[in-house]
Amino acid sequence: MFQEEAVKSWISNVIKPEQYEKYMENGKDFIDDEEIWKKLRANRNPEPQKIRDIIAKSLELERLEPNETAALLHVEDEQLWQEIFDAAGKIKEKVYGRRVVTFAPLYVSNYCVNDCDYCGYRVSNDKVKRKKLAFDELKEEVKALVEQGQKRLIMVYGEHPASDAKFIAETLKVTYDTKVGNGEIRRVNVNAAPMSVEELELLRDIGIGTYQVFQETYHHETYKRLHRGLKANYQWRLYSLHRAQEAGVDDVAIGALFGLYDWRFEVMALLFHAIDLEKRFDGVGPHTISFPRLEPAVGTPFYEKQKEYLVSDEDFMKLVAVIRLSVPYTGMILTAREPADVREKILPLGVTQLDFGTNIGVGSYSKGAFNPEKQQFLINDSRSLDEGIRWLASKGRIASFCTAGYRCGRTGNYFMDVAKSGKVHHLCMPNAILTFKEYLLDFASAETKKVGEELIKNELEAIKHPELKKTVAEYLERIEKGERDLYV
Amino acid sequence: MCKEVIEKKFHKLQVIIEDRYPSVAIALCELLGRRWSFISGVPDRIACPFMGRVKISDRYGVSVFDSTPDRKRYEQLTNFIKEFFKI
Repeated sequence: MFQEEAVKSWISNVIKPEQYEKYMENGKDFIDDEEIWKKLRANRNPEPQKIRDIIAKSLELERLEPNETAALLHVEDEQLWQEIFDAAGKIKEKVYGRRVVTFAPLYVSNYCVNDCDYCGYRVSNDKVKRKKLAFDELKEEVKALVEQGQKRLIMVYGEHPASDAKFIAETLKVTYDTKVGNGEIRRVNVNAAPMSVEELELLRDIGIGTYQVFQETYHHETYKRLHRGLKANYQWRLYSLHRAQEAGVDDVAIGALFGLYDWRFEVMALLFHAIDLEKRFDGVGPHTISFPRLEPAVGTPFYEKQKEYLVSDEDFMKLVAVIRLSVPYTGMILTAREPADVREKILPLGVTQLDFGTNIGVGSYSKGAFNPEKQQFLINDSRSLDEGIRWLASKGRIASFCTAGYRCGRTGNYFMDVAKSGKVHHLCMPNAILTFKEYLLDFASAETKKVGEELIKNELEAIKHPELKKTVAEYLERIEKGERDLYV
Repeated sequence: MCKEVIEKKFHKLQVIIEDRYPSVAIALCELLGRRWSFISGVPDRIACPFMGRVKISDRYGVSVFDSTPDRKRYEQLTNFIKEFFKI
């Protein structure tokens, strides 16, 4: 696709050290490995009352301090864990209500210049079929997703000149411009390589949703061992979201790939990352936190060799709950990497976003194909969007396709402040009801429609604010009559 | 109009609206494709229903929120905002 020299030349111009060095203090980044281990060691065997005090603090929607998170991570008592799990569910409901946002991933290009040991897309993996969507192919992919009823996407790109910032910006435009009947994509989030401030301004101007860059592992030595070339620069990656906020992208997302290093360390590091963003950007930390677990991938023996840090289902529940308590107001994403039975266990622990109808092969949605040789990893929950929505309804959760905040200016520190006050659910729930109604009318199966209408009736009844209830009821009537995209 | 001028005018508008329409909060936003990105406003960061938005230039707009949604009041406000920014 690109001549080797052109790729090398591109690589040599990517990193701009001045754009991350300015955030470092005395030449150091905000992840101090030794300090994290020191806090973990110092908070072993926590007293039950200390844990209960920490739980109470989280329930007041206050972000935890690292020592408090470290204490939670060392709980051994089953009863205390149950209290933590219960609190995680309560916190999520207090902030966001009973709604769960649904979305789909769309992999646009699997060309990559990096050679990360654990990734199916690594440049040395000749078992992966390389593919970058042309714009007409992208349109077909988006149409297929819109016809499912999807309204929100996370678009994913390898790090390569073929999918540079200009290409990404163009794909956002194509996606937003693609409509099928009443269907359209209303919010596009992006998972891509670290970019410069200037490149992020391009994406900002097109109307990017959330910009997401996962550190993979925050442990410096492990990071160095697993990454080569461009991605080997730890700080360039670490400060991606700082640069995004600096560029005016006020919804940013962080995550770690669990399975590369000690899970307790990574949870602590995620908290330090959230803290630094909040400190630098007027209280605006990550919009969401993700915690994918390492999965097998085609042509990637790393998974078979690296067993030491794999996270059990039991520990996975713990890390999700601790993240929930640590940053009570941040969204949390649980993807279809996880099988249905695991998502069943994790859902009550404070997750706010799930994907369904997922296909991560590049170009696979429009063909309805399963192409593991074009995938970064294997996914384990193959339920359709309709099935996923019906399952959520059976759990008392309403699927939400809401993109209101992004379109009415409820972003950045306006959104954060309302989320931190625990009041955003007053809007999240009505918007969930409205977007769910659209889904039921335009896309749902008969079975889902029946369950869904009952859920809407109950949730409408549950709105306490009489004026708001009246507005939502009026909007529901307008949606029944054919209007779309009404939000509060 | 540059951003600084718009922000100054917006703050004046906020004072007027707070006085005349106590249930209303407004936000100055930057228009980025489909995204209306918050710049300032809504001083108490209240969770009020969104009524609508008024574009005041190619790059900026005002979003209107009302704790007691009223369509007529919103229409009056829209006209007032347009007049205020001379659109």
